[in-house]
Amino acid sequence: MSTFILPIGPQHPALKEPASFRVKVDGEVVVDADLRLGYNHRGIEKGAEARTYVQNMYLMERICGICSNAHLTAFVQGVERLLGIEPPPRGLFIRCLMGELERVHSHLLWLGVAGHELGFDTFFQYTWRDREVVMDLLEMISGNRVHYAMETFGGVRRDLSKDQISKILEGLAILKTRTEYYANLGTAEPTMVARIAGVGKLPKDVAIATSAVGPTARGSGVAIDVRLDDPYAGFGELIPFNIVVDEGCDVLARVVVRVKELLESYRICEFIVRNLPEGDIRVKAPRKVPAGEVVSRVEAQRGEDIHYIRSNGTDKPERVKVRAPTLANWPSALYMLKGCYVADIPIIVAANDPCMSCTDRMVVLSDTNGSETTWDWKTLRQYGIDFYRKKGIRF
Amino acid sequence: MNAEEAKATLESDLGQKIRELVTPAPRRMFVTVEGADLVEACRVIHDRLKITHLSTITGLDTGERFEVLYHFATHNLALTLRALVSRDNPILHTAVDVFPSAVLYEREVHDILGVYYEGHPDLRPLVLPDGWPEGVYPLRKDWTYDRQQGVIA
Repeated sequence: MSTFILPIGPQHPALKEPASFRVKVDGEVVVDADLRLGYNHRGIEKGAEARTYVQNMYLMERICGICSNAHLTAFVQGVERLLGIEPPPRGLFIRCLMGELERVHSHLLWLGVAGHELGFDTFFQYTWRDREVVMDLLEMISGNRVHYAMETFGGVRRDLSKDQISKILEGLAILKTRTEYYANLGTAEPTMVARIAGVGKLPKDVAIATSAVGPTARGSGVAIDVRLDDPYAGFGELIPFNIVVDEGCDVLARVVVRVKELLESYRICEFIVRNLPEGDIRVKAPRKVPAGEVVSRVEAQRGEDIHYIRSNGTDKPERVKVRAPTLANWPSALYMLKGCYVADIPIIVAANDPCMSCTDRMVVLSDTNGSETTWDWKTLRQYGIDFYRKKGIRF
Repeated sequence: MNAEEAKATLESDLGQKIRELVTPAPRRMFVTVEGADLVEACRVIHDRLKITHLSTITGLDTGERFEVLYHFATHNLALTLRALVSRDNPILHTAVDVFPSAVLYEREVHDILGVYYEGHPDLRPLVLPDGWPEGVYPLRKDWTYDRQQGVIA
């Protein structure tokens, strides 16, 4: 039978972000895959050259909704190195806590998406319900569910109170119990294992050759993690951390890596809030940045996030280069697609956790419930609860 | 591999081809070579330093020339190889043969800075839209953008 080219994307129900694949299929088997990117290209690097460093903090945070804190941390710590300032220990601990809580929410979100792509929508609903626990913690700490705006040059913006620390510990205990349940479910439930074991094979040598990053690389036995290789935000000396590696080289291994990383993140968060040093959370930073260049790396949820910043002595950068982890994992995704079944394409692409935007939560309704046109979160939530109670559903 | 060992190996293998070698911070190293020596330097980094991870490639316009920066990473060292490229004749030879992961990053540099890569397997546009005019490179400093102001009728 002759081959046939199947266009998938840029807008497609199986993809959550605009990326276009041209997949050459022979019956049900993928022979070759090609990629076209750029549907979300917003010219942020060019835009950064026209803005001051302070304005760029806001711009960098908005590169992505899910890894906003990772991008901001990479940018902020790069500029801090150019300025020659170092945040106080308490600031570093809170910065690290934000990074790990963001990893927790992102990995839980990914577990749900993976469940959905596998047709296991109960799993999706469960993980996303539990993800609300960490979203509430993030909101309590920063005031926002996305775009926390916690980092600033010289430290962080908000401190943690005793009350908040006890709430974080309570939340972590719930999450830990739930994640252990998912660890058991994801690796022992026969239908789930049968669906993902051996799918999307990425041998270790290919992962190295394509410079894969994050859980994709670590699921193929490549022990790279910026938190270990290039410690930042208190990692290394102040905060202990264990790398998670799995030799499975398939989608199952990537699930295992992410679930174990969740458990590791809970340990890190618990260590941080139990050993939080006293003192200031930030030092004052000058507006003008001396001329120089810096490479700043952060382990985002999806892998290594690298920023290159060149300064020219003014209050605006000469060049800001951003490479988000998703781009680094596309060559390995294309490798994985070759030889797979068409039905496996969504989960293989999703297994790299390609970046997608988060939604805002402000809801505006036009006169469906009396005179109120704008509902706040509390009203909406209560409405939802009452709606399902009336139907006799208990939760 | 620590920074001192890497420095000694690079200096013995590349010798006079190194224009500059600095270590401005712990775990950071910047090596500058001419564009013509890029692939040879990549080969030394891959074969002798055993660095296999290419993080990304940055293209940058200083106004007088282009700099193309290859960011490599290994445990405890982030090495940046800077290739100097003339602005009048921006041509480099591809490093895809040494680092297969360079393929998308070099396409991006070609796309937005207009550095042509000899021997590159595929230089189709990667991030710029279809129908973007040829020979217009947005990341060059002389390219400025002016957007028409929106008018509310």
